[in-house]
Amino acid sequence: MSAVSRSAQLPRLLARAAKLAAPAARLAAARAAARHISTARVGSSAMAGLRAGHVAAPVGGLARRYSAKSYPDHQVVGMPALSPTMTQGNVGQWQKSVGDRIVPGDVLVEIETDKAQMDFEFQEEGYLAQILAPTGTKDLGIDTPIAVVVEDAADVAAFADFTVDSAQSAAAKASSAPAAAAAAAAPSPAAPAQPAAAAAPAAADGSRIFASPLAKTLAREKGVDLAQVEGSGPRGRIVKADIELFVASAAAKAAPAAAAPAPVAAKAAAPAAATAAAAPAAAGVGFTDTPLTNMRKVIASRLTEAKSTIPHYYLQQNIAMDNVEKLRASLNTAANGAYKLSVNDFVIKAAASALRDVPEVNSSWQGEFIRQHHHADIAVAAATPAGLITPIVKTCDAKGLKAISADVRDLVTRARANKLKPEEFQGGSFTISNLGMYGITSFSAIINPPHAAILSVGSTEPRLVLDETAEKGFRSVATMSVQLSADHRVVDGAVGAQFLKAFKGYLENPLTLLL
Amino acid sequence: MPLRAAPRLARAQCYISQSTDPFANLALEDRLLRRSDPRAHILLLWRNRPCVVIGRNQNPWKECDLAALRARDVWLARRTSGGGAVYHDLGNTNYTVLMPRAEFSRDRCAQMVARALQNHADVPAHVTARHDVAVGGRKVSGSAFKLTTARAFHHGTMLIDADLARLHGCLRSPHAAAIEARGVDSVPSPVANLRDFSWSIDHAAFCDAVCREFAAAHGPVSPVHVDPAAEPVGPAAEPVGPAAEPVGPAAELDPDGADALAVDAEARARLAAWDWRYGQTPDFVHRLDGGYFSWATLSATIAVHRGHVASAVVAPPPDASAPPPHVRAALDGIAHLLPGARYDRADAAARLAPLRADRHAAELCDWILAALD
Repeated sequence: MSAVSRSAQLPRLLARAAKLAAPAARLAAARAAARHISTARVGSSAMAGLRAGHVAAPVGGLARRYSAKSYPDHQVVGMPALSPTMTQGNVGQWQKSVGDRIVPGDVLVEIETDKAQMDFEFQEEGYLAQILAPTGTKDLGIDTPIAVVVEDAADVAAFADFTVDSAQSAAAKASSAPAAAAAAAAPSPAAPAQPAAAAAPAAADGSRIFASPLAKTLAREKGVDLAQVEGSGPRGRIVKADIELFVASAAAKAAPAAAAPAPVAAKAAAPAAATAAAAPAAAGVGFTDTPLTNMRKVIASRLTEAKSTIPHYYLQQNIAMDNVEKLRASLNTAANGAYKLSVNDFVIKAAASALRDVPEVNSSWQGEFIRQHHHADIAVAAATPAGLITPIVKTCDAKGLKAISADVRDLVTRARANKLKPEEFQGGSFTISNLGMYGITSFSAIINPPHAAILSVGSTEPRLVLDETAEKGFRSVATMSVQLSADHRVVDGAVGAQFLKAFKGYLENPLTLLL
Repeated sequence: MPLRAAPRLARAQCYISQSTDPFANLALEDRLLRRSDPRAHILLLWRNRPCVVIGRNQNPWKECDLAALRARDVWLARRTSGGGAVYHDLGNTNYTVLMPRAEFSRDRCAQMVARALQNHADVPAHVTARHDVAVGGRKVSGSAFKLTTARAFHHGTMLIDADLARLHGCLRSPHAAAIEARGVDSVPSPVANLRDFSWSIDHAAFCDAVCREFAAAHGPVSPVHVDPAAEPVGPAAEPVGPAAEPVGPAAELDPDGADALAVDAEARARLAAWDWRYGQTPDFVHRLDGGYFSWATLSATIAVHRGHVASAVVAPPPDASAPPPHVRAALDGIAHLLPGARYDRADAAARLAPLRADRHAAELCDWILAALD
């Protein structure tokens, strides 16, 4: 930006800084805090705040980012998800040109995805400042920046040189700041947020700072970091007026910063890297930021919802697995390669039979009613390189061990190769999670909504139990510890206990599975 | 014209267009999309006189052989839904199913059509992964979709007895490699006519089969024959300007009567206009190599925006020598005169006429014009 334009901006900046002086600061803070979900805007007067690259939560197809250069307050619009299954789209004809006014409901641009032609209706008011993806751009992922919208028509001209890189670099720089801010947000909001924000521009800048001698003295007096100050002199030279302006706006920023970081940082950490399609993993000293994959996002949202809304309770039971081991060994020797049963297959079958005996556990909470399933469709938790997935073995109560074994093997192989169909991992009525192969003796898993329970199976270990009938007074029993995490809205304690009792019965006497 | 909100209005309606004018049919489809009862499921069956219909964001110069189209009297139309280029003639029947946006599903209508063929036409059709209908591995129907806030439609072609040789001839552009375009490319697939699988299938039989299957899914319907336009009027003879009166009264969509469903002449004209069919093409660049003249070797790069030439740069390729000075004047002349011309041979030739005095420039112009259609 030329010196002329900078000095022209100065009166406007000073005016805005004056507006944000102490009395108005609280109002700005309240406004900022209230709107953080959809409009977490830091006022443009806080130029230093702009440099911090504050990232707010994307809403639908929108994401707000501030570039490291001093662009006015703006909003970067991303490729919208116009249908639940849409993952990427092509940009069609722009129905608005740069400088046009946008009224809520106006069609901004046409989007084509997989032969479907749709209109993207913009739901906010503003002016189109820059088009980042011209007509005909193909295969843009959801949230990829496609346009810039501003509130004032006067700001449109400032974006003539704004490019997708400006939007992306801000997002990459910002991903480290909110990540640090989120970790610090828990103990104390205001203090760590400021240094974290300050660290970003200092690291990002790296170039020599031009400042007048008077400005340097003033900065030293006031304890102002010159790297954070926006220079308005020629070639970005910092002058006394800039220091004064910075001090005034920093006072104003301290108030909103306290209110905003806690809610915003919490939201910002995950969606900050929602530019998964655009920004690569940002590496820093001592850490690496990985953008979130869709799978990670889904796991995060579902399990957070489960853990926070479902009233979990846990029942633990030790199960003697000697008989199962014996039966398994004998069935496997008779197999002749047709099948190879694992302990998990017995666990699944026993759970299915127990669900048949105690059908209340084979239910799901549907909000207004409880759905009791007639068949046991058991989801088996499988770890894949991409994350956790739970393929479903259908109607386990009607299947034999061999069928269950084959199904589990097939589903897990395909899950690892990412070849599962949606109906194969969505649904089900009960989940079994087995971490025994990792040596975990016992754990409490999180229920997969809308199931009513999940069974956590640990490893089988030899335990000594007192046995008067034995010669030594004790014997070794191969014991497996299981925990049932149940949803108390659907399954009461006694019902859960009955289920575990039935389950234990089937496993300790596996021949009863034949009944 | 708002739909008459009669309580007895059936939620399922079926129309068969009597017109073979592609622009009138597309205007009718658009009218149904925007004006019909938001909760209704509507089936529209139609067929066109020979034409190529390209998708909303496609490039006609890249998708079809415009010279061949002109030579064979095949018209060019652009639809409002996405997807690729298709060839229509009287041996091809189109179906459109309009539904509420909330019930939009890519596969459901394709499956309905496949069922119609299986149950009522004895053709073993199935739906492919790209939501097309195929028989025995060959595509007989292509699909495209359009969604608005309240309504959505799925429309598709059905090759019953179309001229496949002409289809291939029209849909293969000689400039496909030379044009670098944004926008949507067609996905070519091997096609077949239903005629290959059934002796008795024809337009009427297909319409009947689809209506029956539609009725099975949505309740009894009796097809209404509608006529959105009188005579097919070619694209060159567009109705003159805004002074033209709309053709007939804007009829209400009355499923009980066989009213002529006349379409606004203005809507039809908009779809037939050059600006829509060619001007709505996303920006592209046409590179011409092979400018081997006795006096120089040249290549041209023509950038086209909204169907008009934005810039035309003729220069020697990087490894060739610079052209002689008198030729440079011609190159500058082309770079100066061509921008602003419509990207077709007639308009470009008119613009380049002043250069024809010079022998070299005339050769150059001929070479460039030969590449335009």
